[in-house]
Amino acid sequence: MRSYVISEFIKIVRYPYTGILILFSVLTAWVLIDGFFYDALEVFQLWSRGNPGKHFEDFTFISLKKQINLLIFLNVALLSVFSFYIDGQAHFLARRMTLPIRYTYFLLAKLLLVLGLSAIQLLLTSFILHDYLSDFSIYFTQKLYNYGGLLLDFALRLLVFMPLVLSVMILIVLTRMNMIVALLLALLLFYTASFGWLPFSTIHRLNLLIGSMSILEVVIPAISWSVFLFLFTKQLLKSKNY
Amino acid sequence: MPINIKSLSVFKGKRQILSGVDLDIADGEVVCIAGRNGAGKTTLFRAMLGMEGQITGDAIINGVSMYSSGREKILLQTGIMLFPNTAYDYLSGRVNLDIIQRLYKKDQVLPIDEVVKLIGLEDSIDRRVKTYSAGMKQRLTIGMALINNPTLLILDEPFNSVDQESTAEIVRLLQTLNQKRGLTIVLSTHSLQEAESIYTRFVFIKKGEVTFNQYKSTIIRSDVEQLLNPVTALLIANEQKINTVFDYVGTTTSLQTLYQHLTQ
Repeated sequence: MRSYVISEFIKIVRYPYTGILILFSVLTAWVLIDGFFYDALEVFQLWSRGNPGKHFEDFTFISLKKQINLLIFLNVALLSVFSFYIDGQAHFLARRMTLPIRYTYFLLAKLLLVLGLSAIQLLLTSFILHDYLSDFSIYFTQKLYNYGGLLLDFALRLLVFMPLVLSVMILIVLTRMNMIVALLLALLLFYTASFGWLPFSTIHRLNLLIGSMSILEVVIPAISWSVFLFLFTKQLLKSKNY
Repeated sequence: MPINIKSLSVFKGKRQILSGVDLDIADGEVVCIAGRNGAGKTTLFRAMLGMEGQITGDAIINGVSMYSSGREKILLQTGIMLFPNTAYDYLSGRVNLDIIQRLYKKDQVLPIDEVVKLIGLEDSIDRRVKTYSAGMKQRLTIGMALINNPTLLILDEPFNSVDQESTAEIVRLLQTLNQKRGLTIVLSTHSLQEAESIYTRFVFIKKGEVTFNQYKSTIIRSDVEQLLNPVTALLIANEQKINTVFDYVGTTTSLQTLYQHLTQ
């Protein structure tokens, strides 16, 4: 497993366009969250006029949740396509049957790397835009949160996005690594997910606060869909013809 | 590792790509499989390695059917190059070898430096693959097939898009692998010239059927030339058109005589 993770890490980190992709995602974040800032400004004006009992964050928090989720979603989809695009260039799908690949490890390594990179992208974006973390800092000061809780929230958030990564992987395999088609379909998934369609209903229901993240409604469906889609992707990769 | 192909047919939908191929390859042989584009060479390799879905017959390597669960074990001892330039071109040759090496258990692989020495890329192995010439890329791809210290090497078109100098280097490499390491080698090519100095047996495939299968010692050179000479190939490929022209012109030219001689 370690070997697979290291291989995936080398492949993606040394790819010359990885930096551009991260820059692109931060730019996307800026575009997405720019709307939030615009809304916030409007809200701020309303608040400054006549809501003395409320804090600024009380108005912005709800809007932010949606923006952050959309941002992770887009990043995860892009990274999934990207991680396979690199393999596509080296004809991985074509020669997979000639190598002793352990597909479980291969897929797990890809998942880890995509989710890990998504986490890094999100943190980078958060630091640059001072949104996600600054909101958490409010909760830290109010002692509603601790760092363990933050990490758990982060992990669960990424777990919820696993069905998306796997769905994109399935699309890539089914389109025989036609990255343009896969990317377009991934974007379609991106929009579908925002309506809460089956495997992605958990994303639709996702809330920012871990306290309100229902195990029955969010975590269990996310794990179940992930396991199902993981096994399906593995079988798809193992099959001779698909 | 010996290979036994028994009445192997491959279908893609309703189309039959290979029809009833029988081929036995002994340990330590170098078999050259030739044929024109679309004759079924790559399909034969894929079918031999258990990669085709719709088949009849069987492909047995070292006593194990490649369509059974034992296939994985055979793959661990086989070096395969079915596709050219399968390297990550933004990485160095060494990292590419390392990525492939990581797929195998540590006790199954050759040290990277040994493979590099074998393929003769000592001076350029730490350079990015995108700076390599076509010949160097091909040698690296062969190196990737050698990383698991195979006893059987299967190479599809190893001389494709490679200049004469690189071809000679690849031939030397294959000679070393066969003579010093005792590898069984099965390779395909368009042109006999390239593989002439190494093959022990020559197999010709036409329209999915083996039409010629002889040991080097028994081959009459003109037979093989007739099969592979590009002029002959061109004439055979355009047989119908040429016949139409002859019918239309109604003449017995020297070209017609040559054509009749070559296609006899």
